Amino acid sequence: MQRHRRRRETQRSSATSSSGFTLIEVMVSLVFLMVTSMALLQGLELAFRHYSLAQNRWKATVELWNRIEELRATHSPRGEPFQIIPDSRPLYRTLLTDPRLGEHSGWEVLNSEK
Amino acid sequence: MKNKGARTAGYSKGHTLVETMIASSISIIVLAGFFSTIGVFQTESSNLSLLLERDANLWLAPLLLSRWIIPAGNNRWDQAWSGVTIDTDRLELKSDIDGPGGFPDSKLSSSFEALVLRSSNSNLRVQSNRGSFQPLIKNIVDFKVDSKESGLLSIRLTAVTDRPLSMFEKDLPESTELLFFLRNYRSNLFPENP
Repeated sequence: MQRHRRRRETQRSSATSSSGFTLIEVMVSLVFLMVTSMALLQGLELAFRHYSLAQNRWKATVELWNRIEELRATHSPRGEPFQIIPDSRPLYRTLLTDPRLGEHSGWEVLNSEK
Repeated sequence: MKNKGARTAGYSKGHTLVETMIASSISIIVLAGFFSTIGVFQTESSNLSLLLERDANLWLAPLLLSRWIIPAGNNRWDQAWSGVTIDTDRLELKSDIDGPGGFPDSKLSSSFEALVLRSSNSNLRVQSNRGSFQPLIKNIVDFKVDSKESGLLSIRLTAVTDRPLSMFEKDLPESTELLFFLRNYRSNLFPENP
């Protein structure tokens, strides 16, 4: 009789421990889910930041393009003069930069007097 | 004796109603949080995709237009055409860019030598030689051409998204103005022998 009772108690305790999830398992799953969600949202934020960066750079490039075309159209000599061939008309070198395109980027425009 | 054992065994299996309710509540909260995150992610991804598509179309325009507009005129001493004809929403370009050996041949017979550009049905359309207008760049709703001083051509393009972004009622427009110096516009060269 006592042996029967012991066996039943052992079965009951093993059934209770194996069924369902423990609190720690649930907490770990929740943390994992939260980390995944945060990673997704951070990836999205990164994508928007890069999009904004690309848009700014594109706008800066278009503005530089327009400035270069204006410079070519007006033939206004600016910058330092230099001659490629001796006794020829001097050319003027103008360097156009934009901080949005980075520190080391710049467009060099060669222009002559009209 | 049998009934007591069965009752005890039944009582020990499964969960109580309170445990089930708590578990259900936690599951609902966790799933709602997860799916709301997924919803935000999907909405914002869709918005970003629409913006990128609009901008990609707008950013493509300068590359193509500069390829066609800058050589317009081509400086042939005997050319009988005007290189650029401007209407407010229509631009005609004639540039002899594809003669034998890459040299102008004074005939506007090749593709992209005589172009007409205009915007209709949210597309920038192009007509090459005697062909019909074909869509060139989509989502361009406005195409304005203006002639500035010193041979500068100003082109204003406005692009919109395919559909309104979520949380916005209208399509989001984006405009840009491009300047092109028409260096070959005036025919002022001496006769050439290609």
